[in-house]
Amino acid sequence: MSIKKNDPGKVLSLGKDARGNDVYALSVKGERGMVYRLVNSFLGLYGIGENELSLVDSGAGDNFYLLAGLLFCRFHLLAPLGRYLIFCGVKKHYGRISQLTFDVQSRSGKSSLTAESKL
Amino acid sequence: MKIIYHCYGGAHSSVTAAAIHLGLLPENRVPTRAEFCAVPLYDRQEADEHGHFFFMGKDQAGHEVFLTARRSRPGVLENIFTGLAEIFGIPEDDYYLVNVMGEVNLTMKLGGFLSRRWGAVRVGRPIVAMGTQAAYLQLVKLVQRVKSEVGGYSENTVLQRKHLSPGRPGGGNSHGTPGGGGETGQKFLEPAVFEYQKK
Repeated sequence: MSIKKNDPGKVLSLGKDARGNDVYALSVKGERGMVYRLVNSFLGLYGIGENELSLVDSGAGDNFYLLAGLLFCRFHLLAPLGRYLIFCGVKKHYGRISQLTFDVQSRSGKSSLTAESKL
Repeated sequence: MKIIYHCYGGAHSSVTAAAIHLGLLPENRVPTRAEFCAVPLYDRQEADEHGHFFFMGKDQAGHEVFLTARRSRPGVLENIFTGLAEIFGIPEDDYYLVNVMGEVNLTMKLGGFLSRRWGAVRVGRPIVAMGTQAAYLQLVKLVQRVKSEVGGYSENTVLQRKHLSPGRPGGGNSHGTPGGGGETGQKFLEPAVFEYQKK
């Protein structure tokens, strides 16, 4: 799945999990705090309960490979190298990602939404 | 309908636009610096509040007016807002995002930077107020365009309906028609219901 450069903050639907929760992805470069405030403020604006949406920051533990890969992917010729580094980074990071996912699944009840954010 | 004015820091242009919308500032003349400074939230918002929606009040047509800061990322605000609205089944005609940055001049940017970023309020606030005075009539026009887009106001207070390019997610749809229910005359003398609170 690719997010276009001019689509920062776009909420992408990834499907439903085994418990029936809707899972979304949201990608914003920087502005981590502002995104949290935006989402929480939106929920307050429309009187939506906080348990209806869980915002999970999956980008907090990004490693060197992932960051270098993302950098290389910006340049057309270095994109294959970038993809390889991202692959290595995800592989190294996989344990933490799966643990994060497990934690989120264990604390989320049915019918609530989960937005996986990569800030 | 919720009308949300947004700009970089949510301290000057969006506050001024929201105040014009609510009748707290006059539409027929440029206010004094003291009048600007008397508007709640003018030159007040701090960086750690960026992203919050501040409720400014209800206008004559019953629309709720908010303002927010989104730094230099208007796309992030619009995408997140429309994305969440879609998820929770909120219709597109229930909100209206208005980007006010198009009306901001260099003086406002300089004054706002000095006052908000550097904390030099005594130096920055008069400069930003001067810049707001220079941009004021453009802000009035923007607010009038917004009012003509959302409808529900008296014909005396709005211009002809025009396409509003910045800040409107999903194109330039218009909602409702002008006319009916609105109050005429000098709104500055009779401000709309006013309050603000952090949402």
